[in-house]
Amino acid sequence: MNKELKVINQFGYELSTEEFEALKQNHPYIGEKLILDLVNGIGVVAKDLNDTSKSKEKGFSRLTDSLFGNSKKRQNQINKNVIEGLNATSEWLQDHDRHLGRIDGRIKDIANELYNTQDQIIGFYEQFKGIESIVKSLEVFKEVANKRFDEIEERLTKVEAQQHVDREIEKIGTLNLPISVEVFTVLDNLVSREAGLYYMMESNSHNKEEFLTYIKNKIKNKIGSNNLQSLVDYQKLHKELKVIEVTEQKAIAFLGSQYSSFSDDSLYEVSDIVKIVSNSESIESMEKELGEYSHISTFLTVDMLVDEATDELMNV
Amino acid sequence: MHQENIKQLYIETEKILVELIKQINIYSKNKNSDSRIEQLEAEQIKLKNHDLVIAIVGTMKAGKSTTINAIVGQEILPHRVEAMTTLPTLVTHKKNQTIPTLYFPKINILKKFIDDVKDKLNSAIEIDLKFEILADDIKKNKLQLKGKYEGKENIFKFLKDINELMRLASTIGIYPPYKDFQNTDDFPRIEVEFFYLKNNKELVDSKFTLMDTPGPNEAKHSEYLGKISKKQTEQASAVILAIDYTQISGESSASIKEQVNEALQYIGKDKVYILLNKFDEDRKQSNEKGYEGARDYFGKEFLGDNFTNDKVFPVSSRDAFYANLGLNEIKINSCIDESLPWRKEFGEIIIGRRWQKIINKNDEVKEYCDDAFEDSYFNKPMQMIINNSYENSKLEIIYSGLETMKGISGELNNEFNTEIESLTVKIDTLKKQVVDIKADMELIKNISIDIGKDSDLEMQGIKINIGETLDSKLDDFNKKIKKSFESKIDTIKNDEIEKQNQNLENNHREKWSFFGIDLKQNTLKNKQEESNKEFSKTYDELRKNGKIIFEDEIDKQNFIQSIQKEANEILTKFQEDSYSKIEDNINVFIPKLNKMVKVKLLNIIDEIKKNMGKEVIFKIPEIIFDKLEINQNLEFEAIVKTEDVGKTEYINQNSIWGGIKRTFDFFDNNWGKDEIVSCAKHYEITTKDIIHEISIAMKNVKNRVEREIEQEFNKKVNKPIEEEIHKLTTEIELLHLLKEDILKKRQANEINIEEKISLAEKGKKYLKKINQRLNQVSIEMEKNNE
Repeated sequence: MNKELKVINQFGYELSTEEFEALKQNHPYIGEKLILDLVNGIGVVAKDLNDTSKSKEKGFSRLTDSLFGNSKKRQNQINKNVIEGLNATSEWLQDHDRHLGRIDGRIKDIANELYNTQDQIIGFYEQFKGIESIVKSLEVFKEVANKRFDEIEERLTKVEAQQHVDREIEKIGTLNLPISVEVFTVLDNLVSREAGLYYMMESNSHNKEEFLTYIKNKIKNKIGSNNLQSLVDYQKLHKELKVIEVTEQKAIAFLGSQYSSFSDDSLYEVSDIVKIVSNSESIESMEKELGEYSHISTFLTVDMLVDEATDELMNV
Repeated sequence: MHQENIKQLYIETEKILVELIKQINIYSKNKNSDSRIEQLEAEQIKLKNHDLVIAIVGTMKAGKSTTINAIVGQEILPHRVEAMTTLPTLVTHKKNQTIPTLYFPKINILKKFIDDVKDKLNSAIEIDLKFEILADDIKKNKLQLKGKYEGKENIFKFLKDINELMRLASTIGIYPPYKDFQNTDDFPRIEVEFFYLKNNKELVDSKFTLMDTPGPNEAKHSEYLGKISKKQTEQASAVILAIDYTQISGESSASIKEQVNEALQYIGKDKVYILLNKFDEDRKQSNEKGYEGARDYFGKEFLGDNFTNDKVFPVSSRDAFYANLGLNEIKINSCIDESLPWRKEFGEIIIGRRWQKIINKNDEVKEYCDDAFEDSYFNKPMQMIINNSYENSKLEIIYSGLETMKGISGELNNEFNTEIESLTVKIDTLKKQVVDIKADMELIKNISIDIGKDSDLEMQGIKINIGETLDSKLDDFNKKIKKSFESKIDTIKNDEIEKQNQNLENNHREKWSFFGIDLKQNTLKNKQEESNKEFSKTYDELRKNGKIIFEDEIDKQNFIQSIQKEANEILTKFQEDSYSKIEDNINVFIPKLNKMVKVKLLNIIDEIKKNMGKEVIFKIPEIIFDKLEINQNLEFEAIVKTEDVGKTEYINQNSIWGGIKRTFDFFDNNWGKDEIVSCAKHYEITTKDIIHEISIAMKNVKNRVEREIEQEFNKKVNKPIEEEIHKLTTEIELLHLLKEDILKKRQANEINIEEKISLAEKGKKYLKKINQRLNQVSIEMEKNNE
C-alpha cells in the first residue's frame, strides 16, 4: 500500500487504493497535502472549543468534506485515531525514500504549534479512550518534523527549479481540465516540489521576484497571448467542472479549499474561486457565494489569473 | 449595453469599493483615512440607492400630467391650467404602496416663507382678487402645511396651495425661497406603486422617479426657478418632452416650433425623448401621415432635421392613462364602480358608445383596456426611455465610483512609496529630503501666484477685445442709423411734397373752375413750387439735425420697430462676435497656459519626486477647455424714446363770414380758418436720442458679456487651474508631513522599520490588485460602449 495512503487510513479516513491512484493522476502530491490537512486539523478541532467560527473556515472537517463527505460520526472516528495518525505521520516523515518538499516546512510549523498548544489539545482529546500517550506522540512528531525540515537546508540550484517549472508547465493543455484549473493544478505541483522549495529557501527578494516572473511568463507563453485577455467565465467553468470525473472534482475542491485556508487575510482570490466553483452545487449558489467575496474579481482575465495564482500559491 | 453587463459592472464596482475600504483600514490608517472612507461610502450609497429620475417637461397643455398619471395608473398630479410656478414634484414608484403619500422634507422653510407672506399681507398691501381667499387664509393662519400627506385629495390640495402661494408671493413682491431647494431630495415627493411598473423585474434595484418640472416656458417668469429646473433636468437620467400633436400643424404651429427648439436648447438633445401627445385626437393628420409618417414629419420637416426621429413617439397619454386607470381600479377594487367620477369619461374613451352595457363586465373591460393601451402607442417609448435611462444612470454612478477610487488609490500609492522611501534611506538623507521638499513647496506657491497673474492679464486682454468689438459695432451702427434716418426723411419729404401738391391741385381745381385754365395752372404751379421749397427747407433742416417728425403714431411705431430690429441685429452680432472672438482667445490661451504650467512645474515636481520616493506619481495640472457655455439667446430691448409735440391745425370758422373767406382764399392762405394747437400730437425722433439709447443698450450688453465671460473664465480656467494646483500642493504637503512624522519617529527610535516597510509593501501589493481591477472595469465599460 502507498505510504501516504497508509497514514491517511491511520487517521481513520477510508480511501481506496484505486481512488487514491485516480486522484494522483493529475495531482501527484495530493497524498502529502491530505496528511498536512489532517495534522493541521488536530489543532484546529481542538481550538473549536474556543472558536467555532474559525474552525468552519479552517478545520479539516470542512476541507476534507470535499473528499470524504461530512459526518459527525466519521469525525469522532478520526478523533479516536489521532494518536495512530500522528505516529504514522512521524514514521512517514522519516522515510528515506520520500522526496523533500515545500510541504515539510508547513508540517514543521504545524508540529511546533501542536506541541506548543498541547494543553488545549490534551484537554480536547481527553474524552477519547487511550489518549494518555498523546503527549509523547506530539513530542515525537515535533522532533521528526523539525529534523526533516532542517535537511532541506542543502539548497537546490536555481537550474533544477527552473527545469521543474519547464517540466510541469508543459502539462498545461494535457490534463483535460478547464484551462484556469489546469494552471492552478500545475502551480500546485510546482509549489509541492523543487520550484516551491527553491522559492521558499531563496532569501533574496529580487531573485524571488525574478523566479515568479519566470513562471508567469512560461505559463502565459504556453497558454498563448491570444487567450490571455479573455475573461474567466465562472458559469462555464462550473459547467465544465461538473462533467469531469467525480474523484477529480473532489481533488480540485480539496486543493482549492486547502490553499484558501492558508490565507490569513482573505486575499487568495484564485484559490477561493477554485474552492467556490468546485464546491457549489448550482450556478445560482456559486454566483451568490462569488458575489459575497469582494476580493474575487468579476472581470478576471486569464492573464490576471496566472499572475494572481502564481503569487498566491508560491507564497503559501 | 446589455443590462446583464451593467449588472456585472455594478457588482464589480461595489466589490472594489469594499476592498478599497478594507485596504485603507488594514494598511493605510492615518488622519486622512476617515475622509477617504467617507468618500468611498458615499459612492457605495449611490450604488445602493440607485435613483433613476425621469424629468417630464412640456409645451403648454401638452398633457404632461396625463403622461405621469398614465404611468402611475391613477390621477396622481392635479390637472393644471396655469403655468407651473411651484417646485418640481417627484413621483416615486414604491412597490405595494397603494395609498399615495407625499413627503416634503423642507417644510420648515415653507412655513417661514408663509410667515413672510403673512407679514407683507398685513402691511395693507393691495392684492389681486383671485388670491383673496388664500390671502385671507394666510392672514388668519389657516394655511397650515405639513411635511407628510396621505391620500390623493390631501396631496392635490397641498400641491395646489403651494402653487398658489408662490404665485401670490410673486404678485406682492416676495421672492419664493427657491435657493433653498437645490437637490432632488429637497422637493416634494409622492410615493406610490406605479401600475405600469408593477410587474417590472429589471428595476428592482432602482428607485424609479418621475419629475414634474417646469419647462423653459413655464419657468420663464422666475430666474431662480428656471435655474433649479434646468439643473434638475440636466441631472435627470432622461427627459420626456411632451408636445401637443394637434397643435403642430395648426395656427399655433410656429409658436410650438419655437417652444420646442427652445426646450431642446435648454435640455440638450442627448437624453430627450419627444412624445407627440394627443396623436389620436388629430384624426386628419394621424390618418394622413400614419405613425411612422408623423415621426418623420416631426423630426425632418417640423424641426428641420434638428432631431432624430428615433426618439420621437406619437402617443395618446389620455388613452394610456384611462386604460391603466381602469386596469388598476379592477385590480384594487374588482370593478369600475358607479360612484367613480371618471366612470363616464373612461367608458366613452376606452369602450365607446355602448360603454354602459359593458362596463360591469370586468373581463371585457380589461380587454378593452389592453387594446386601448396598445393603441395608445405608449409602451414602446416607455420601454425605451426606461431601459436607456436605467443604463445611463447606472453607468454614470459606476463612472463616478471608479473616478473616486482611482483618485484615492493614487494618493494611497504615493503614501506607500513615500513611507517606504522614508524608512529605507539613511536618516541624514531623510532630514535633507524633508528640508528640500519644503523649499520646493514654496516655489510651487510662487508659481501659482504667477499663473494667477498671467490668467488675470489674459482676462484683461479679453475685456479690451470686447471693448474694441463694441466700439467698432457702435460705429457701424451710427453710420447705419444715419443712413436710415436720411433715407426715411427723404421718403417722408417726397411723400409730403406729393401729398401737398395733390392737395393744392384739388383745392385749385375746385376754386378756379369758373376761370381760365391757364391762370389756374400757373397759380398752382407757383404755389406748388413755393410749397416744395418750404418743405425741402424744413426737411433739409431736419436731415441736418438728425430729426424725424411723424404725424401718424403708426408710422412712428413702424419706424421705431425697424430701428429696433436693426439695433437688435447689431447687438446680437456684437454678442456673437464677442463670444466667438473670446472663444478663439481662450482656445489659444489654454494650451499656452498648460505649457507654461508644465514648464514651470515639471522640474520642481521631478525634484520633489526624487525626494519623496521614486515611484511617487504627481499629475501636472492641466486645463481641458471644451467650449463656452453661455446662453446666447438673450433678448434685447433697445428703447427708442419719442418726443410728443403739440400739432398746429387749422379748423374752419363756423360763421357765414368764415365760409365766404374760405371761398375767396384762392391762394391757400387759410382764410376763414382758426389756427389752433390741437391735442393731437406729432412725434419727433432724433438720431442723437437713438444713438444715445442704443449705446446705453450696447454698454449694458457689453457689461453683461464681460460679466458672463469673466464668470465663465473663472469657472473654466482660473478655478480649475487653482483647484488643480491646490490639489497638488495639498497632496505634497500631506506627504511631506508623513515624511516629517517618520523622521521624528526614526530619530526617537519609535518605529519598527522592518515591520512598517513590510506593511507598506503588502499595502502596495493589495493596491496594485485593486488598480488592476479598476482598469479592467474601465476596459469592460469601453468594450460595451463600442
